Amino acid sequence: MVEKRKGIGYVLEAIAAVMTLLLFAVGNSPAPPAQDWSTFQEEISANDLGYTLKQTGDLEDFVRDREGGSFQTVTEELSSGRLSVAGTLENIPKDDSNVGFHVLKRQHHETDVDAVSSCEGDLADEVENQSEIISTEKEPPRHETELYFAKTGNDVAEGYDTLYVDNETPCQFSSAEGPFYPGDFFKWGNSTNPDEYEFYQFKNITDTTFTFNNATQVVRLKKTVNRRLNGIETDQSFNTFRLSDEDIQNYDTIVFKQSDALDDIQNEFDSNDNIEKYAEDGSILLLMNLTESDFNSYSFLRATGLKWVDLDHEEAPSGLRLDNSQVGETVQKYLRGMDARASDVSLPTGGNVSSSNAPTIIGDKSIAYGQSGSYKVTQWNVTNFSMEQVDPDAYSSDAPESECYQNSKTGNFTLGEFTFDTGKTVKVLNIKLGDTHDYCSKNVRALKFLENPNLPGKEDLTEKPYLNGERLTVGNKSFVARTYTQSGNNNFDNGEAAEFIFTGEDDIETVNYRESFEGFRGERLARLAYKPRYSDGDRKMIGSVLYWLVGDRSNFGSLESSTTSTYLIGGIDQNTFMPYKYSLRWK
Amino acid sequence: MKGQINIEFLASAMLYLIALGAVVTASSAVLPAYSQETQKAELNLESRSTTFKLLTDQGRHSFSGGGTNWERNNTTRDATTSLGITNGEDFHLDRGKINALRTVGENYFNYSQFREVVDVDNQYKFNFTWTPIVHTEESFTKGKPPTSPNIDEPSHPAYPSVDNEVHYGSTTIAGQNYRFLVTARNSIYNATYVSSGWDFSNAVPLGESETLNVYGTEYRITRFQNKDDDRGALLLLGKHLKTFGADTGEASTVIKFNRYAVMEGEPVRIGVWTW
Repeated sequence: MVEKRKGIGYVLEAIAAVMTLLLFAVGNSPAPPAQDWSTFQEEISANDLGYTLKQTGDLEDFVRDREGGSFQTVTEELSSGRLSVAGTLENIPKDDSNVGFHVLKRQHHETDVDAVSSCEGDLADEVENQSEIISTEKEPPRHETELYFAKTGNDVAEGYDTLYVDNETPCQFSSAEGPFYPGDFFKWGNSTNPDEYEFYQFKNITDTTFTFNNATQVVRLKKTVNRRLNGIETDQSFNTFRLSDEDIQNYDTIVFKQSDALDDIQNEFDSNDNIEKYAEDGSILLLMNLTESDFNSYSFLRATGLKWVDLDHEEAPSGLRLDNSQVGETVQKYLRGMDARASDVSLPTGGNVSSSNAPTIIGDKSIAYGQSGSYKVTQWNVTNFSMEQVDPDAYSSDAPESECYQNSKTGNFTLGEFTFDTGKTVKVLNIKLGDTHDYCSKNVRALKFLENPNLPGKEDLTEKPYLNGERLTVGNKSFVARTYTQSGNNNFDNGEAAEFIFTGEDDIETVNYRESFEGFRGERLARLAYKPRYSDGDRKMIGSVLYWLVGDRSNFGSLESSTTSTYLIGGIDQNTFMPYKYSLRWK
Repeated sequence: MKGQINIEFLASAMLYLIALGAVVTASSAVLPAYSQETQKAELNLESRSTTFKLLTDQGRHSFSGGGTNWERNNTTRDATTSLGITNGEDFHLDRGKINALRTVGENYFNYSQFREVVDVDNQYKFNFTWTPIVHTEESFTKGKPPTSPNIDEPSHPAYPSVDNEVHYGSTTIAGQNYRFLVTARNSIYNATYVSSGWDFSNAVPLGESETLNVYGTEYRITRFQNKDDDRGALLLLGKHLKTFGADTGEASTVIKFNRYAVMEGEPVRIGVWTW
């Protein structure tokens, strides 16, 4: 009995000891982290505030006028300093992008300036003495108008800093005639007839030389693009530049007009990596009519991935139709935001150029095509209608097995040559297939390449036969294999005829784009035709493409970290075709 | 003679006392923290649901067939069955309903009635501040005001020395249009001239924290927009509407956060204290 009690006692003590140890462990373990109620409260406030500002219409004003700073101020003040906000505005083109227009050598001018003989008038009030006024008087007057320059001592530049255009009344200037500062665009000419004046950009002035660039098209495009887009401010900054004079890395988008610019681009492309370095972050717009010779001559053009389509037109292109690709729909959205439609645009194609965004040359993704018009794509079909009977035994290792050509049945095993634009002429077998003689009457055929029409490193087409209707790719073209049994008046029952039919779209592109390049890294490029004078609809189309190029995400504010995220979506003036999205981070 | 207490008993007793001490120590550390967290959770959750109800409901009274205009008179206020302060649209407040709230007073919906009708476990205080936003994104160069609208610049002696870019805009307060010029010194926008028309000849500059008087009601200039990209494009006014509820006194756990709603097209900040 005593032993039993002792034994039980030992057990009880052991249990007590274990429990003690456990209690120590539990007592020393920290309590689980407390709920962060401040984040809970911030989320409520952030959601309320975002919703309230949307309801009052203030959010729409911030979007419309691009006032990210105002949004931050309102948030901080209304939350009594408890909340800060930063965020991204999406689906609306970035504003305040820097767009540079390349000028050709003949569009860049330097002209002599000299001291004036006399200039009693408005300018005399701006300067201390007349020796501080110089003009273009001694040069033949361009557009029958002189320019005057003064040192007015403002903060824009040292030395000569202001330009006045002297229309009609010598040294008397209206507010439209100046002052203009370096970087400004000005009208040179005193007529309202567009053929009698031009716009230029004032680049530089020294004691002896005035430097300026042609800018008439730039000014007209600027007026169109800087109109509000669906009521939303989209001010972009426009400039002109020569590749040799300026660092293009400062620009967000650069525009090259006329195919004459290809010489300048190619020189830059060959001599340094400025263009490639620029393309990594910036976007490029080509306003050019292109020819096959341009693609042959300029490696830059080939490196972009754009392709020349060496086909005649089945029907000449006219009009414009926007594609329903993602980029096409984005550009269409912007065009609509500028109160324009595809039917307002009168741009030509500017050459047989394909964006070539699909794996094969004429794909199905573009920005815009001709409303009507098509390529004669049958020109790219590769045919042989005179394939000849050969001995199957000579090709036993290449041909698939079939009862149909056993015992040398005529027409069931033929050979012909096909020439592709990879530069290769290859032999192809035309074989009737069947595992029974009865099946052979169904005339199921296959084509088997004996040599690969693709260049080394590309898909080897000799690996398998191609049944009637099967797709294959040779070079940058996509084909469908086609064998004939009978066609019209010709009897092709004997395996004489086979064809590789090109399967690309036959639509002719009017606006091309690339989102990646073949010869260098980059993200965005577009091409439209060049015209000496664009219509209002054309400029809106160019503007819409420009908006796509500058991108549609704008950031405002900055927070090192954030505790809450919300988003708000809406449409300006209830328009739903261009919705905005604010992705907000709060702290 | 052998002792009554043996060494095993002593050891067990010691173990027992140590275990008891550990349990007491652990509880005294964990239980208060647990209790406080529970209280915070309750305050936050109740506060959110109570304010959500207030901001999404018009309220109801049961007098004479019932209705949503509980604020109309003493009879309807006394017959209030549910409290809400909207005008029928979620997060859009009715000024009359806010005006009808008063912490104490017989001719108002008072705090005691609030606690009874809303049936809350905790104490509350609300602070309503109306914060009209005036957009002044348009601008002109000092000395060259626009002709449309036809702005007459101030004659005040402080005006000639302000920065060149002057912003302007307008808003409606208490049914009356007011026009604002916003001026800067050393690139900081810090003063506004206010007029009922575009003639600011007799206007005087008002800075932050100064007040604008509209038909006897004072609105405080609370903030000018001086963040990058759009300096001067906006200024904020503030008008305290109402404080309603108990005093926090010496409450140990008070939670406070802001809710927001719209009244007459402008934001309202509602400070909410709960304890």
